[in-house]
Amino acid sequence: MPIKVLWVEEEPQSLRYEMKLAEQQGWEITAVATASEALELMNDAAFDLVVVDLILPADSFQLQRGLVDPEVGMQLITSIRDPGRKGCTLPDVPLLVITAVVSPRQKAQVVEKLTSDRYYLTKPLQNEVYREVLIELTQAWDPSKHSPL
Amino acid sequence: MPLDKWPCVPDTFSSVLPGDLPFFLQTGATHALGRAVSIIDPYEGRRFDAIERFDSYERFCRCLRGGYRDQLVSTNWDAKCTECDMLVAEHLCAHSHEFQNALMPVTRYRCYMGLEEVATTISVGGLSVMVVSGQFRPSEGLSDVNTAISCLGVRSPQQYEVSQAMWESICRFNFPNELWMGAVVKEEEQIHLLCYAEELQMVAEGFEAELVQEAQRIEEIAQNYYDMAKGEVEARIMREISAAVSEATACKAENLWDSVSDALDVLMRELNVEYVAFFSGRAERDTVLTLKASAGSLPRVSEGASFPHFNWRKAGIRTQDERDTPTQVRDWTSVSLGDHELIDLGFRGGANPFPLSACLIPVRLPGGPFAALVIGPQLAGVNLVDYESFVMTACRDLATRVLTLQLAQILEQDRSDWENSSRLTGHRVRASIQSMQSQLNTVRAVQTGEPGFIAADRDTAEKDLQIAFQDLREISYAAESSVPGAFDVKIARRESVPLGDIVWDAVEAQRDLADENGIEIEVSEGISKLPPVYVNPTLMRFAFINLINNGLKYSYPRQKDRKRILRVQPPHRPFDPDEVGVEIVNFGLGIKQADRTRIFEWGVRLAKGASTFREVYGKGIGLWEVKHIIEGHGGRVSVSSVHHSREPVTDQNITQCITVFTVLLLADMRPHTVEGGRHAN
Repeated sequence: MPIKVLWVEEEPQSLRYEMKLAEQQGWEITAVATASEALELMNDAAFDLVVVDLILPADSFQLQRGLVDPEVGMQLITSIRDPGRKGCTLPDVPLLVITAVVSPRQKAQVVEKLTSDRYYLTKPLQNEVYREVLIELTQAWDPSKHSPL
Repeated sequence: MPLDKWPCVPDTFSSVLPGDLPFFLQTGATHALGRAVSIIDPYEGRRFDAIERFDSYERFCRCLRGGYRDQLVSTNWDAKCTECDMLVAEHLCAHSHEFQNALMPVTRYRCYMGLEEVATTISVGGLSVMVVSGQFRPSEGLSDVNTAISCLGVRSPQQYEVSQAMWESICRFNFPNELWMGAVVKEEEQIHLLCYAEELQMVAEGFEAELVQEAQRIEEIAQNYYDMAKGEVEARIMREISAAVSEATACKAENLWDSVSDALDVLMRELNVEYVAFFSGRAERDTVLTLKASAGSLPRVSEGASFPHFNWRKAGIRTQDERDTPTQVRDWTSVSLGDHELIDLGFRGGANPFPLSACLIPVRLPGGPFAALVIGPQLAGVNLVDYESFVMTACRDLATRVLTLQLAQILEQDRSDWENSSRLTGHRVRASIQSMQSQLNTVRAVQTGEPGFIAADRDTAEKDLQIAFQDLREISYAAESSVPGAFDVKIARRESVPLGDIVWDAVEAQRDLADENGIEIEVSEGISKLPPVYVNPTLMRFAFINLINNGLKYSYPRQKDRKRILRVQPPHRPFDPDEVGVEIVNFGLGIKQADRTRIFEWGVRLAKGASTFREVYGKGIGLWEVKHIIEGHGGRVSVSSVHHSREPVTDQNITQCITVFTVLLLADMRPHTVEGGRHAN
C-alpha cells in the first residue's frame, strides 16, 4: 500500500528531485501550492503524511499574484493539528517541514508541533539528511493508522 | 574540466558557450576601472585575472594567435597588439555607457552594481571572443552571457560574417579594415569544442556550496540594511513621540483655562477627537459643555459663557448596563462602547483633585470619530474652574499614552514589514537555490542512469534551472535596492548635513575600538569646517564608520614607545572645487596594488598580510557597501597605499605602509545651507 502524502509547496518543481526520491520510497504524492487547497483536500481524503513549506500563498488569489505570506504555513500546521477542525480525522498526522525560514522563534513554534525536530528541514536541502529523513519516515509509517475516508 | 572560480560554469554552459566561442573576456568592475580583466578559458578550465595590467589584452591576443593552451599563463609578452579588434573591445568597455544608440551589435546587461554594461563578440586571431564590459555577479552572469550570445547570434557553428552595422561601427573608430575579420572556427577547434561540450555536462563540484554561500551573503546584506533602517525608523518614531509629549507638556501657561484649551486642541488634533464634554453634575442636564474639534478654542467657563448641552443618547453612547444612566454610573472606566481597548486607556484618579467623582474616558462614537469625555464632578456646587488642572493633566496623560500607543503600533508595523521583507528575501533566495540544486541533481541522476529518472526529466530540469537562475538574478537586485526606505541608496531620504558632523559621529562611534587597539584617532581641524553635503546621514555615517573601522583593523597596534595614529583629514591632493573630501589615513600593512580595486568588490576579503586571500577578515561586504553608498550619492571612493618613503606599494613590498582611503562627495552649494557643523568653531 503506498504512503499517501500531501505535499504543500508553492513551487513543486523546485523539489523535483526530492519528490522523485520520495516516490521511489513508495510515497504517493499529491502536490498543492496553497494552504486553502491543502485544507480542502484534507477534508476529502486522509493522508499518511503532510509535507509543508512555511512560506506559502494562502489561496489561489495570492498564488496567481505571486504573493506569499510568512505566517500561512504555521497557520496551516495549527489547523492540521486542530482536532476540532471540520473534516479532521488525523490530527496527529506526521508532518515534515521543508522551508527556507530559519527564524529561531518560528522554528521553535513549529518544532513543537512535530514528532521530532529532525522533521524540520531547511532549504536548500542537504541530500544526505533528506534521504535519511525520507527513509526514517517511510519505515515509521504504520499502515494500520491509515484511515481513508 | 570544470572551473572552480566565478563565473562558475555549470553543465548548462554548453548552451551558453557554443562551439564557436571558446573564450570570453570580462573587463572592468565599473566604467572607472576599465582595466580589470578576467579571461575565462572554459576549454582548458582556466581563469586568468589581470587587474590594472596594461599588457593584459596584448598577452591575451598573442596567446590566442600563437596557440593559447601553453602560453596563456606565460609572462613573456609585452608587445602592443595591433592585429585584432581588442582595441575596439577596450574602447567599447571604457565607453559602454555611451552606447545608447550603438550600431555595433551589442547587448546590454546590468552589472552587480546595477550599472548598465554592454557585451559583444569580437574577433581575435580568427577566433570569436565574448567581451563583457563589467563584472558579473556570479548568480546572474551566466544568464547574461547567454542572453548576450543569443542576441548577438553567434550560436551558429558556421562562420559568421561581420554585420553591416558592425562594419559601420568599425569604420567609426577608424581602425584598419584588416583588423576586422569574420570569426572562423577551425575544424580542429570544433572537435575540441565538441569534447569540451561533453565535459561541460558534468556539474562542477562544490557548485551548490558556492551558491549557498552566495545566498548567505545576500541575506547578510539584507539583514545589515534592515538593521540600519530599523534603527532609523526607531529613532524617527522616538523623535515624534518626544515632540508630541513636549507639545502636550508645554501646556502649562499661567492661565490654566488657556492651557486646558491648548491641551485639548492638541488632543483633538492629534487624536482626532471630535467631542469633549464636561459634566458638572450627575445628570445629563448637568453637562455644561460640548465642543466639536472644529469649534476652536475652549470658551472660558468662568466667564459665564453659554454652553450647549451634550446629549448622550443622541450621540449614541451606551453604558455597559442598559439600566445605567449617567446619573447612576459609578465606575466610569467600565463603560463599554464596543471598543474595549480604548476603554483601557481610561484615566482615573492620579492627579485628579476629586478622585471619586471625575474621570476621563476616551471612547469612539458609534460609527464616528474618536471622542474623549471628561466626566465630573458628581458633587454639587463645585466650580468647574477647580477642574482645570485635572483636565489639563488628564489631557496630557491621555495624549501621551494614546500617541505612544499609536506610534508604537506604527513602529511595530515598520518592524514587522522589515522583518517580513528580510525573511521573504531569504526565502526567495533559498527557494531559488533549492530549485537549482534540485534540477542539477535531476540532471545528474539522468546522466548516471539512476532508476526512476528519464531523459524527459533532464529537459524539464534544464528549463527550470534557467528559471531559477533568472529568479536568483532578480532577487540579487531586490536585495540591493527594492526594499523600501534606506535600503536603496538612490531613494533614501536625504538632507543637507555638514560632512564634518557625519565624520565626527563616525569617529566617536569607533573611539572605543580605537582605544582597545591602542590607536589614537586624530581628526584634523579642517574636518569641522567641511561644507554640507546632501546625503542620507544614516547611510553616510555607516560608510564612514566602516572606513574608519577598516583603517583601525589594518593599522599596526601600538608598540613600545610608539604611538599609532589613524588620521582623518581633508584630502591633500587637489580635487574638483564642487567636491568635498575626507581622507582616512592609517599606518599598517598596506594594500598591494593588484588588490586595490578588488577590495571594493562584492564578497572580496583581504587577507591578513594583504598579500594573499588565504586568511580572511570579515564578510567581504563592508567596503562593497561603502562604495555602494558613496557612489549611490554621486561620490567616489578610492584607496592608495605607499611606503613611508613614498614609494608605491608593489606586490613584493607591503610592510609599513601609509594607506589612504579618499572619499569625495558633491558639496551642497545651495544658498540656504550653512557651512560648518556643530563641531565648527
